[in-house]
Amino acid sequence: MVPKIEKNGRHPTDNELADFLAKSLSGPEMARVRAHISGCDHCLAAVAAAYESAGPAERKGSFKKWIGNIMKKMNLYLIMAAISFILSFLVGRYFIQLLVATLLLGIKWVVDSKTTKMLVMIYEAWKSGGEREASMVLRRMERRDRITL
Amino acid sequence: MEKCRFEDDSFLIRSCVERDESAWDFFIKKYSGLMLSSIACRMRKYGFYPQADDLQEIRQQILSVLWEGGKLSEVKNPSSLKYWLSVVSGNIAVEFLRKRRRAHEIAPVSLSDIVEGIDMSDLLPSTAADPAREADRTALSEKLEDAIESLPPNEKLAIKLNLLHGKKHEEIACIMAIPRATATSHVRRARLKLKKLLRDYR
Repeated sequence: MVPKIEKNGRHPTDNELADFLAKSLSGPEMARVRAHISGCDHCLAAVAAAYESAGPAERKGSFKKWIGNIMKKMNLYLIMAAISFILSFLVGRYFIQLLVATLLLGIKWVVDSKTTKMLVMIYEAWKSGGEREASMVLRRMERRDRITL
Repeated sequence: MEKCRFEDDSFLIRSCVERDESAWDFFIKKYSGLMLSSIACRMRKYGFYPQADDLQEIRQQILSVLWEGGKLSEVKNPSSLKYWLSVVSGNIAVEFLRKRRRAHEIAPVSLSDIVEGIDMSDLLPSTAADPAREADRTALSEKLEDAIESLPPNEKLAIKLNLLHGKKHEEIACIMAIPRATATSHVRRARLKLKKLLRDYR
């Protein structure tokens, strides 16, 4: 795929990379592939991607991961704001207090969201370094964020 | 019941190579998911997040390379078929990217691209300048890459898997086919060396 020969020897074939991941190469061959992918980011990307998509399924910590995924998707502050909003009606005595808490948590949620953070970052950059700095931040975000085709 | 005879990968491949259509149907059913996740995974390594229609298009290309192009006959070791298929799918995905974009834009994500996302608090010298400065960060990521290149191969591989691909020590051990303790010591030694190198640079 990448034809040129690099300083760490020829690229391993697809079969060699597959056998490397399946640990079915001979000792010296394993060492050769290991040495190659340590210096060749293309082959390393191939190995890492194949490991991630076809590798052994994760055994331990799957519950922790599951919880983590849920928390990542649903914002903690949003949930807390919703809970205190509902509570404010259920617990009549603390109606105002809970409404204030809802408001504060809601503000925290908005400020914490990614878009707001991005805007703040761009504004800060613009304030300190003018347009050049701001466009640099923007470009960096573009690169890091999803670059779709 | 009839399908079960294809459960064995070596038989499945042999049947496909001999142009058995029902074997091919079974192959597509069994491995389409793997192909799609391999494409997405590999493209992510190049900083691209493919849309569903691109994924399907690439999957079609893979299928035609495997069947019409006879690529399946190249499989040497049926026991590592899933890895082979994943590597080949990824390669076709990268080819696809190269055709869409100018070839020089297609490179694996490097450390400088993700330097902010990495926890390097233990690598940076305590006298580090304001990390918010773009120039400092670019210089730092260049230094970091130079420093990583100067490490011995095993440590380099371990730290790249750790920082660049976000792999835990256990996964590094699994990929490199070394004991877990060895992987841990590779990563730890690499981190210590990087810390020292980055301090010397300043």
